[in-house]
Amino acid sequence: MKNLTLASFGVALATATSLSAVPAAAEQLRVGLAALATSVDPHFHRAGYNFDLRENISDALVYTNGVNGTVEPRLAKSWEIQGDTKWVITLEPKAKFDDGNPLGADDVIYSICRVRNVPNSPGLFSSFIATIANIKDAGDGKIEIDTKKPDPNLLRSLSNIGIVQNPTGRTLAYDDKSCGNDNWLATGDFNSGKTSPGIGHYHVKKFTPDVEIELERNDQYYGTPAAYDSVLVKSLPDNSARIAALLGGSVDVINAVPINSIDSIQSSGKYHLSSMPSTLLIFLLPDQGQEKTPKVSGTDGKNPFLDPRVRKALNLAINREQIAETVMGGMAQPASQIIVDGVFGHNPDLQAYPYDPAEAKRLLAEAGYPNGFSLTLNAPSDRYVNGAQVAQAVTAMLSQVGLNVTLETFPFSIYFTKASAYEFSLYLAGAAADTGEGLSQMINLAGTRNPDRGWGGANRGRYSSEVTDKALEDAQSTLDDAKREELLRAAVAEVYKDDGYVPLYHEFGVWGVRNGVHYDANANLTNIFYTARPE
Amino acid sequence: MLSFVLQRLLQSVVVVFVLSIVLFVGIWLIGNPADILISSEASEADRLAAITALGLDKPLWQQYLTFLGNAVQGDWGTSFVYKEPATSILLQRLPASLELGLVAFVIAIVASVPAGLYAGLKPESLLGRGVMTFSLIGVSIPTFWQGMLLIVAFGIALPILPVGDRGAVATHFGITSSLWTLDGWSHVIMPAFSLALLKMSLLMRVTRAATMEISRLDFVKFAYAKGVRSRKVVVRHILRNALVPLITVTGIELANLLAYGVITETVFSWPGLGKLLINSIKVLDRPLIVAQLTYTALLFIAINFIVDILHMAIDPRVKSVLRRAA
Repeated sequence: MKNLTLASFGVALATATSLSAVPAAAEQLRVGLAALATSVDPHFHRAGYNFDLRENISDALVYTNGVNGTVEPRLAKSWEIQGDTKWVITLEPKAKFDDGNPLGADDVIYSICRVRNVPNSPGLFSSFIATIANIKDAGDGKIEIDTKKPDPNLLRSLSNIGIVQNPTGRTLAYDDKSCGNDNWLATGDFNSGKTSPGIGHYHVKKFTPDVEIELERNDQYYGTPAAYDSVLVKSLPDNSARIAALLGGSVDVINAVPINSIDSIQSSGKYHLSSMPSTLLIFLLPDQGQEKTPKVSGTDGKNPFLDPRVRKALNLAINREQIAETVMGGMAQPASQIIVDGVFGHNPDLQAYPYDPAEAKRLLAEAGYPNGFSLTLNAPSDRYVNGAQVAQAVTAMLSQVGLNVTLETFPFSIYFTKASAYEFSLYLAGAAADTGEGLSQMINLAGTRNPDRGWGGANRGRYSSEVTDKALEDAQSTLDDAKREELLRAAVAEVYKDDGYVPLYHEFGVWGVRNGVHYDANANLTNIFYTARPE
Repeated sequence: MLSFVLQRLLQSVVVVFVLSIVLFVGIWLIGNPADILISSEASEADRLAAITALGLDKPLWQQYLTFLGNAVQGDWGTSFVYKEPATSILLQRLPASLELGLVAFVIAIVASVPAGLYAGLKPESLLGRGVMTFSLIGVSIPTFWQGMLLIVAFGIALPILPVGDRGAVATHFGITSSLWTLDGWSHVIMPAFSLALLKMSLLMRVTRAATMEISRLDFVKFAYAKGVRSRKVVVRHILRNALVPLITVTGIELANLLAYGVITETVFSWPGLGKLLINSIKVLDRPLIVAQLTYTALLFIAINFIVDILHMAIDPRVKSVLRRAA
């Protein structure tokens, strides 16, 4: 019996070794990510790591290219605007679902209806479809979308909505509730592979939450096929484990390369970095929303940040070049404004804030604080690349202009609960442009905070300016690109003039890549596997 | 004996009950899971929809009662993040943790008991001192640090072992495990050794101390004086008595290995329960955290129970104490 067991064990070993001997390296791309998608369902949860997977397995109508900022056709072959609020979209006739059925207008309507109807979703995508008044089948492979008001960013918003196959057998009549349907595809069936997430460059072969995702190339894909036969995506949240996986050869690509490993990757000769400035702005935001602010003392109860001179002093007290070069190891671009260079809405006329501690001191004195005041700077300890170190550097810089600064950090899991309850006086945070252009980012950061309207979601310091709001509001309904850009630039300049924000830098997206693999960096920090190729 | 088992069962129910309350209140105090899960760019309406969908709009006591009602029926809730039943995610991850924990346990026992015994019998010898030095190093190096050292040494500088991750799995005799494949062993051996190192060092010290203490006792001296062969004295008299404290420590350590390989699993990106626990805490995925820690509590209770039974088998004196206590 013992021998038998040993023998079968031996066979098992032999099988295992022969299996692993099959050369896979040439066709398989292995990627280690700091955060893995939590679901295959393209509409389940609005979070960066789910955008990643969705873009590779479930095409939307268009794709917002994170490398050059353009909107590319996907399931929408072409589109035109009729009047101010009607979009006529021609669907890609070659696009077919796994069962061979071609894409139809009913699939698009069903998918957009489903966005609001995913049971138990921890965060819906519905704000991306908020401006849609109606969608209908226009026949001839076309759909018509009516918007409630002119919406220049309709397609960019829809680039986040994967199109799934309509299972109901009828074309739903669009409304902004349930579209008369009560039987929606279940998230669990997407995860188990029972329901296909739509038409994409890759199929999901196996989804293991928090561990790994196996993808297989979709050979029926209507567009340019992906170069790799299969992709293995592994969850490697720990920085050192991720870097070890790359250096040890168990993955070909990692994202979010830790700053302290950049040198060892570059000097090895076996790996290279793929990086570009992302839209993610790291900023300080002083509390401008309350007369008394909780974490400041020595000001006779006043909130010093209501005085624009004090805010300007903050902007002048920070040496952005030094933070970007020293603390961020060069993997950041000093910021003068919210929108990063190269993204729609960036204002090229604004000068970078000079580093001028003497002027900062003078302004503080002028504002009535010749001896500074005491304040606590808050920062998340585990959210942004080197975020805690950056906060330390900022603390030191603010101390040099005479402020008595204490740094207090919290883990991400409780940080934003506190920030949203306005418990901070000066806090560090970051926010990116979900749609790949500047308007959404400006509304989210610089728009007057108004939850009902969906404005100022990340503006927890409550910067508010009528001029900025007006410009953003006009931009929201201006279809003409040149005019809209003009309005956005005006809003950006207004925030600059008000010193409403203390922008620090735009973080680089940094990927570590094994030589022999080409992998595109992406300003939206999305991981696109289908443009990777052996080289 | 029966009343002893019943008492233990009752105890475990109370422990699990109290634990679940502590966890519920604790997580509620830490923060709102909705703040982490919901995109900062989502509208207020979306935020409220999500809070309702997760059941977080209800008062805490009501959420707890709902949980309790479902738990009694065997439903431990659905993960906020993955929307899969917590138990099924747990079961998916359990085999990896069991593999790692058991291999580490075997390594720890096989290495520590003979070494500790030797060091206890011959404390002045060079080898005995060597064992003590080794165990001192073993207990002093932080786990994550020695894990990284192992990775750098055997995974990168001398690339003979894969760095982290579980290897290929195979199914034999109805058990799916990576221990059936060579690839699986090449993956498990480094994290298992890393995990075992601390336990090994600890067990060496416990074994040595127990051995030294017992060697001085009269019955051992008597046995030697009577001319009993020394191998027999060591195995029958010293080792058997030394096992009593050893088993208590070993039991707790085994439970620790099976449930709390958190650091090792993180460093070696081992897809087990430890890594899952850390990731669930980061996003305050309450159903997963509660299910996991309950599992851990049950594991500790079960192992302690087995330890007590073993004690009875090894040491007849314990039996009478337990009987009186029951």
